Amino acid sequence: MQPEAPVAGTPLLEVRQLAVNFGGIRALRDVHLDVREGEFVALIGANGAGKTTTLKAILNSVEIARGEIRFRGRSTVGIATHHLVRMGIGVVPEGRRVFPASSVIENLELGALERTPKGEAGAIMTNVFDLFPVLKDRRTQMAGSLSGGEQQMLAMGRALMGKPDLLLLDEPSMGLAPKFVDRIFEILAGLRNTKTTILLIEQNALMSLEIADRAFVIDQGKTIMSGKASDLIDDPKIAGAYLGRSDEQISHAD
Amino acid sequence: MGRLNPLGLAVIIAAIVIPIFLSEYALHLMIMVVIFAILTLSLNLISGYGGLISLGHAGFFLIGSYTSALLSVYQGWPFWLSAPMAILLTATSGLLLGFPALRWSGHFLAVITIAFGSIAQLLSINWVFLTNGIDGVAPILRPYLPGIDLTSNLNYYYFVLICLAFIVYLMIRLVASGFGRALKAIKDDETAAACMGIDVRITKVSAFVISAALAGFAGALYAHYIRFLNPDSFSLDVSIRIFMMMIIGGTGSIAGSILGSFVVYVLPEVLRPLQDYYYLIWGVIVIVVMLFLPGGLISLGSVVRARLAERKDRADQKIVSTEAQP
Repeated sequence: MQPEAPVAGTPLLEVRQLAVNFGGIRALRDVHLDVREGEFVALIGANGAGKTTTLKAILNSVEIARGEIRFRGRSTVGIATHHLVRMGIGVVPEGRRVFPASSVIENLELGALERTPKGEAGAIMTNVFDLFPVLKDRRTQMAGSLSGGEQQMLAMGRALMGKPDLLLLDEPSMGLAPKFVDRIFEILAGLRNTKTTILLIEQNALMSLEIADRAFVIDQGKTIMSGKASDLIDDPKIAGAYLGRSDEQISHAD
Repeated sequence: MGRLNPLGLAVIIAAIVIPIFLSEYALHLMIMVVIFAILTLSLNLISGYGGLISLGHAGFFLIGSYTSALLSVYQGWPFWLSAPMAILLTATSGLLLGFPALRWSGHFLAVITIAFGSIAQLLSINWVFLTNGIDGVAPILRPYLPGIDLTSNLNYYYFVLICLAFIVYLMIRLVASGFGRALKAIKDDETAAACMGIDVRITKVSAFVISAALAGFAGALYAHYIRFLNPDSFSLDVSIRIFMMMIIGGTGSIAGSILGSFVVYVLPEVLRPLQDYYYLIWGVIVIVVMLFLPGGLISLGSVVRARLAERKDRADQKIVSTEAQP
């Protein structure tokens, strides 16, 4: 193992040589990534590359075959998902998973339940409503009656209610109308400016690279590239494989 | 349950005043309704709010009844000590049954809880040394309360009514608490609940423990009311009856639990003179409620109001469209 290079800002989250097996099938072979305090990191890759499995491994909801995951320098092995959340990892799960039979406010309150003292929840909710005005308009509505995009915003607001030190977002643009995809990325870019530490897992590589500080690219359960997002966006390999552009288009892009 | 509406207030006043004028038999029915209301509330906590099916609540009811009865009859314990012991012991059995509930849900949990109820009943039949088997336990004394004669059925009715009021208050607080909200979140989506930092295991097991304790308390109230226990009173039928009370009254509703207990306990008695047609009519009523009021009888008011509003909208539209015609 390499000695740790002293970097400015110790990694808040560190994943090394991660391997995960799913019933005899190797879902992850060798994934590594790290997220430093205040950073916006994107994890991109094609469908089935292992993005969601990586997230599940971080949250300890799948068994790890090999490798190491550290949150604030501490190994997460054996720490249940809800404990990790209480330790400061906020989660916006794949497919949003809002509580459909509860109102918008009740959903947000659940986000604060185990993390935020009662006295502070109101102030945070005001911030969330500033960030997502539509949630304020719909605050008494049942979450199940919201549109997909609104539910996504609710899931994000709900995670923010817990004042997470690290926010994990799993495919927030999945299944949304283009208008809402743009809106979600605008909000993510806004969160970046608030210095919220974010790990964004996305299939939409181009939009993710446009707003992230750094990115990791995984393919077939392996981290194959990493670096500054602004560098990766111009990398011809990335452009061809994930951005759906040919080299020609890149040269004409600017 | 929000603010108390006039109808709720009327029901409370009726529950206090009317029994004074009731016959002994009708008073007996009312006492049983109150005891079953506590059982239904207890089931509603895990099923209605927590989404965990239990068809074994007669088992908790049995353990509570027998614990209090045996301690009272053979050890001479007063009700005020034997009842807390009954609560403690049923809470412990709830803890034991709570762990399988973590692994299984839905039909599997239903079968496991049926098995639990059956085992409890079989033990009460065959563990003759402890329970006196099918000969039963008697005579169980009514609780002693200075100044109030609880051997009077009317006084005992008020006693169980106060117990019910206390449990309703407890349930309202519980449902609104962080625990209650966590339980509801787990019912909706376990994974999402864990992502909120909710400890799914602890919450579910706690719900089972509290539910069992309440059913055990209902058992103690029953034993010291009926004064004679035998295993027949705790069959699977009783578990199913409690389940029906919850469904027919309104799943996830405190007022619904009480209404359901009243309807399911009293209606068959009212229908009894119909003799052969009794089961048929009772069956039809149950099916109609299930089909048209999935939220139970307690949702009748809001369903009717919604229908009327719909009809009014349509009528208004008709007026507008006829006016629009030249």
